[in-house]
Amino acid sequence: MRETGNLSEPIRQFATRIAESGPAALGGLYDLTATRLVRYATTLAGNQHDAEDAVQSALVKVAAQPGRLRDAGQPWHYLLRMVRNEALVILRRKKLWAPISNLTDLVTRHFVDDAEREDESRAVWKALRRLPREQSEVVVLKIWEDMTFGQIGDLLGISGSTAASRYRYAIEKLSHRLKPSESEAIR
Amino acid sequence: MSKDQSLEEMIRAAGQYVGPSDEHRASTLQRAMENGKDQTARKRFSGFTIAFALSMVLLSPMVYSLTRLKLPMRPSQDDIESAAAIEAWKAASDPSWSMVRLFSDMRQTQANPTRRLAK
Repeated sequence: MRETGNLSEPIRQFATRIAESGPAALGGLYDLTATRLVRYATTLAGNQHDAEDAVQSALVKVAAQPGRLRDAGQPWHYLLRMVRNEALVILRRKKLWAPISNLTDLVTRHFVDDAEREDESRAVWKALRRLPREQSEVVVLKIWEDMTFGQIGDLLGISGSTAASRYRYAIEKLSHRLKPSESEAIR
Repeated sequence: MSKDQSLEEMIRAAGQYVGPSDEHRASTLQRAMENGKDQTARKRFSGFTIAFALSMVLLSPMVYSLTRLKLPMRPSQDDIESAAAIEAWKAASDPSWSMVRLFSDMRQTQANPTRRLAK
């Protein structure tokens, strides 16, 4: 998977291509970003189905108005914010929302000949789902998207120090839940 | 490697575990295409609406003046025949010829307001 620091420029190029050629050129942007967007949206929405809906809505909006993404200062962060907004809209619509505690909704990748890694991944996803959404999304943005606390703060509309403290709380909880002895129990 | 670092590595590795479903790509692209078509249709419709509204604005003064136009009343057959008889008596000419002249004059009178409007 490509480093996140390099994502903004290719996204800008894809947005320019969509602006020139129309929605048919959306495939490239999808291939570049969909995996990251879906996993981020899944931590927000609480289930993969809604997460995919959020990503789809965001990308359809990009196809309709690619100029906004092209002209954004940080197109990758702008896209993440779009997906976040869509996920929150879906969550607001579902008033009686309850996060799914198991992983049955997820479309997972199986690591051939690496059952241990797969078990670890399952334990991490389960532990992330048990965190409050505010904390899990900071962990996801920090670790999976390599964003600084300042960038996370900008994206979430909070200060960098708030993002850092949410991260610390989350890591503290995760370190308890993912201790080798306990991760066995989680599985 | 510290405890936190190894935990971060573990979380990082789990990022590869989940991905979009197989049909998600196709459905997203299809929705984007359909949305694009709808947008084009909406643009065309709004263009047509604007053109229609503009033409109505431009045509309405003409329609107004046409409705205000008072065309002369059509004379009855008796009026024409008696007028032709008087004309023939005055000019001591053939009544049929007077009738022709009378009709020519009447057509001219009826056409004048429309000609003025056309100018």
